[in-house]
Amino acid sequence: MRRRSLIFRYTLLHGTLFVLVLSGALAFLYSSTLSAHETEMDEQIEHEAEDLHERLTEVHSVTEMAAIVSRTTTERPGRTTVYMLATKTRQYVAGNLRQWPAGIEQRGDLLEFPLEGKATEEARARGRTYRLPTGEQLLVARNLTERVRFRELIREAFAGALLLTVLLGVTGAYLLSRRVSHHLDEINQNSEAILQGNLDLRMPETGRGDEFDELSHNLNRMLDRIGTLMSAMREVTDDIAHDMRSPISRLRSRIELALLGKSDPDAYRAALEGTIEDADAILAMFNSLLTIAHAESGEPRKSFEPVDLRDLVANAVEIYEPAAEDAGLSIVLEESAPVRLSGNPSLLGQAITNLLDNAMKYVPAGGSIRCRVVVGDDRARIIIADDGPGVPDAFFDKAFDRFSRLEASRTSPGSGLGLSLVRAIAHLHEGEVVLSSGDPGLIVTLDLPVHREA
Amino acid sequence: MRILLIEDDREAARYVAKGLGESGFVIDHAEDGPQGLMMATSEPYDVLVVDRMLPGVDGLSVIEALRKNGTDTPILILSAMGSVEDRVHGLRAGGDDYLVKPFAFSELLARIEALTRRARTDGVQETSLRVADLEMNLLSRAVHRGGQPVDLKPREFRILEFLMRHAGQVVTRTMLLESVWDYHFDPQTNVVDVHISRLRQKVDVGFGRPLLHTVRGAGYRLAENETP
Repeated sequence: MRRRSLIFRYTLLHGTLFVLVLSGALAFLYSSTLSAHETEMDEQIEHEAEDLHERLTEVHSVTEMAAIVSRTTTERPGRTTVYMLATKTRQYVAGNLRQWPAGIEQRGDLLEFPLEGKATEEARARGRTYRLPTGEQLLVARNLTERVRFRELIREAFAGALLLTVLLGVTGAYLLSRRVSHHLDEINQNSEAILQGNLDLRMPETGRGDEFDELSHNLNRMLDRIGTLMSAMREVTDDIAHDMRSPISRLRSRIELALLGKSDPDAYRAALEGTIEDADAILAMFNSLLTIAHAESGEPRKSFEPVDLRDLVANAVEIYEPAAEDAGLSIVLEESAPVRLSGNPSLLGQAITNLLDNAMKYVPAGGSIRCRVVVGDDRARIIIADDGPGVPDAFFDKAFDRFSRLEASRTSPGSGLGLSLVRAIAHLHEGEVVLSSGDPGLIVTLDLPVHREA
Repeated sequence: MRILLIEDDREAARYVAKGLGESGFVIDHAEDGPQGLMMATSEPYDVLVVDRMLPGVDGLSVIEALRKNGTDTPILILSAMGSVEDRVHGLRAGGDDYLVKPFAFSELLARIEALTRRARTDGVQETSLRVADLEMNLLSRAVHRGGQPVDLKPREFRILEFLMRHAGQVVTRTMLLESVWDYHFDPQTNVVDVHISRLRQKVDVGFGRPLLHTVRGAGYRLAENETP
């Protein structure tokens, strides 16, 4: 599993870097603390030695000197300072060191030597020697045990801190990577299950609002959207298959009836002509579906041109006027303002004629159809109002679905695609088409934005 | 009348050729662009019918090549692509008319006849049109039948003008919608029929012999005799 190794490698790399940096910092701290401690101790010894040396130079007899050294030694019991006053030939006179040490060597500003001949650092001392004006020799030094103890203490503290950090880091990294892996695993498993066909499955959402929650939420929204589109698509194909069946079966039965009847050329001719009409109706439905798809694709936007809406409506009203009159209807273009917008004149014209076709179909004789173009607020509205029976409010939204037709109009000609096409054309022009009740009658508003440059 | 049909779909070509042959045309058939281009440049034809989608060289390129070559034979484009943009492309390439597949044969026939007529009258600036005793003055926009004035609305005048320019030929509803209203789609309502019957009221009623005939399943014909 590549992903696991990625998280592991990432955590390991980070952990190693962290430990290295921390070790470096601790080492620096360690060495600077120690050297500060040593410098301070050296200064103390020097101070103490100088002090004693000065006092000894002020007296002149060896007895007095021995007394001072003995007093100093006893004044500070338990301290790790060693004193020795010796003769010219380094024979013991006073102090807590009996034997003049061998192997004195210079280390830094001070001298260092082993105590009691032992070689360990703990048994070493650091200090000064003086030759007094009277010829006696003085040794003042400090046992290094304290320094070694201090060093060990610091070493232990730093090692403990480092260990604790590494432990915490490793545990944290392990928990983090386990959590990340856990979330990713869930998402991967669910994706796999969705791929396997469990399309209703969604990613787990904890509601904690963290990144994984957000990822799950977005993935779920995406899946929902795809689901909606898919079911819409399935609905359209179902509708097409379903609604194309009836005109095709009508065509089929017409042919069948002609073949069942007597073999009369005139009857055959009539049947064939009827068949052509049926086929034309089917082709018209397909054309409408293609035009809807074309408009929905947004493709016609590339060839938008300036269009005067009032001219389009006037043209449509003019072409429908005689037909309306024959049907006993009045169709009028009420006072309208000219308005230019960028659009596809052919499709807009088709939208308007579709609306007029609808009105002609539903308004009974004696009724009227009133058209108007209203401009305002960077929008142009084509309003077509009739005083027919109208449409139930509940149907306002459904009316735009493909093949949706009022129950009452099932028997009259028409594909149920007219309003779908009008809506597709409205959307193509970034507009909307709205049905509302005219009380009585129906008001259809084609609401289109007017862009300034148009 | 000789027609060259450039169409790769054999079934469609057979259908067109059979129908046109029965209508009295002589048909040559080319199956692809290069062959069509060669035939169109080497033989005289009255009309070229060119499918837009062709293997090798596509239909529009064939038309462009012919036009560059100086061939001014009228061209009818056949295409499955029917949007206004497609139509504009076709006509811009040099086509004279554009018919969307699938089409009614009567529609194709009417358009081919219109194109042959256009070729014959091209370049002649007419000031008046005349069919039997129906006269149209294109300058004064006055119409007379048998010497009596006929009062027409502007749109009726344009319909009648189109019919008179194609006198004796079948004019389809689609052709009228395209040329008079610039509509490249069919409204569901029979709007054209109603306009024609209005026009007939004014032009034919009361004048003995009718001139404006309905051709069943195809369209209309303005002529002295009902059958050609």
